[in-house]
Amino acid sequence: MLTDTEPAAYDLTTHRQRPLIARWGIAYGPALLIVGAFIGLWELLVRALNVPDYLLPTPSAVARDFSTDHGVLLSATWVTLEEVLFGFGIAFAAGLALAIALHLSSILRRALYPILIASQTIPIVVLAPILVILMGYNIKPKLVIVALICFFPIVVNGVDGFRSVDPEFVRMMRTLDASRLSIFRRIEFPTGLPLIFSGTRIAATYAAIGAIFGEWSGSTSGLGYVMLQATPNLETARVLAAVVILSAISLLLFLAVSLVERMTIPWARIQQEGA
Amino acid sequence: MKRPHTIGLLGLIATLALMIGGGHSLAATRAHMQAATKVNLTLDWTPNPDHVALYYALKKGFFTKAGLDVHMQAPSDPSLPLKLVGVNKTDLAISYEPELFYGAQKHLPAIVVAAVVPVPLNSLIALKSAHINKLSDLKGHTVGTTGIPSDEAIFATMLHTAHLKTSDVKNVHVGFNLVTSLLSHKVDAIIGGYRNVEAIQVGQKVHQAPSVFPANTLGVPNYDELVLVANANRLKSDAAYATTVRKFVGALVAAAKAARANASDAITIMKQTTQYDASFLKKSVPTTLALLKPSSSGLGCISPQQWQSFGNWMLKRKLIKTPVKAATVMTTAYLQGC
Repeated sequence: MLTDTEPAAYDLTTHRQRPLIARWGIAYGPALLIVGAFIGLWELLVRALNVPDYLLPTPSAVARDFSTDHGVLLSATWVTLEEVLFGFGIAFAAGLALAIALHLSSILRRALYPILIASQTIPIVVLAPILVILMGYNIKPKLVIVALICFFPIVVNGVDGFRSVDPEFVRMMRTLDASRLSIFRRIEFPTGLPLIFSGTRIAATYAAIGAIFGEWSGSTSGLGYVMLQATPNLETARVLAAVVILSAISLLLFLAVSLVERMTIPWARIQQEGA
Repeated sequence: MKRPHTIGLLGLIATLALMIGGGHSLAATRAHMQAATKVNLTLDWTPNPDHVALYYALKKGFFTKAGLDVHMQAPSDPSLPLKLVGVNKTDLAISYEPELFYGAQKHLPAIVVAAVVPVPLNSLIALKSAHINKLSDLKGHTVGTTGIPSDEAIFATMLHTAHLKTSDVKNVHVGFNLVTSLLSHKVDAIIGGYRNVEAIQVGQKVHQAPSVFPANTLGVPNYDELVLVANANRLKSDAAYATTVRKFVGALVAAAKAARANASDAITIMKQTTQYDASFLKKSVPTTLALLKPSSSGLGCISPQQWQSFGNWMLKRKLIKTPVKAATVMTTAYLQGC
């Protein structure tokens, strides 16, 4: 995201700030061009090669599906969005709390860290049905699945972030007779925030997938349920329309985390740009 | 020291004879295989008792005798086989009757040439402890379904047959966790499980056979649970392919007949082919073999009237948007004695 200090914000010949539209164009134009070219090529190839729509529909067929039954997709999107947001919130809160606990207690760190790593090797497709049986056919297992998928990058980055503090700062705080909690609150926690947000951005891209796995294990609504219904009917355009919405949810969540980071730790961005 | 030399010479001659004979046989086999037509068959799902006739044909040489070199593979999802045969990425596929009607809506050039399992396997399965001895007993109970449209339609048809309302029976979508949701009493009954697989698994876990109501007893018209599908356009344009399909069907029907007469051999073959345990296969394989030949028709046979009736039911239940003529999705031209 652009700031006033980024080089593209300024026209170097006139030394004047470019208009917002121009700045956005420079920042996002290349990506939009690549996506546009990909979509164009996809449309062209599918038509030219006469690929059946049950195998791979054209982008225009996928776009048409949005208008054909937008009520179904819209209501499904709200359901999945609710699972993603609440599950992601749980992951962030639990991940941060665990990162702090592991940083402050070396015993906990030695005991739990290997188990945390091992937990990520359990395929969610195996775990999801068990959670659904244990917690029932409601939103709860979906929230747990999203949280399980998302919490790990937050924990790992949190622990690494807290440990990345300059030891000189800690020594200085000790000479000033600061308590352990005070050192953590004033030095280690703020130092760790950039890495925590970095991990949170990674987690944001996985949250939607977690919601889908949860819905595939038992649901009556949501984008995962829509995909489950559309697949045996050979409604591949509907499946891809759901995928497009999921991608949009992931992207928006990613951007939301970046915005919160910008508002919470503006100094970290200035430091990066200064470097 | 003549004897050792003589014995050694005789041994050498015997060894050479064996090598030449073996080599000949290997060469003959290789020549035969080279002459055999390669056939790629995509199954509907991972190998299971439903495929007993196919694996019996493969392991007992029915396909080889028919001059076919058959390779079977499992798909990543059950709707894939029909798509693969429609675009000629596989020669033949195993699929489900409703899929052919969905495919017809999309002008998918697939056509059924034989029944692999000619009766409904999908059933309402309930633990005996739920006391569901007839459909009307479902009132006040919870039924778990997979959530896929055809199972939803079976549920709705069942309610209609039992003169029950949607408010009388709770429907919970359990995905494909049918058995676990039933055994953990999250639901009282399930639709989507098969009478020759899930019903037996449930019975073995609770040491009591469950109540089983096959789909055709729930008001759903009779249908073929598993069918053999070929590419319709290729059958018309490629005479060699049509001949291959005819041979394949003939070998499959012969194998099904032989398997029904040799259940223990069939069980052994499925033990080698699948991951199911022996005690399950000892029950499931004979159950499946008994279902391969309904009393009213021959092995592998398909009925145009039955298919049309099922297609009409799919239309009535809004599974398909437009009527489909049975003759566009199935043919009896490759079957004999039906």
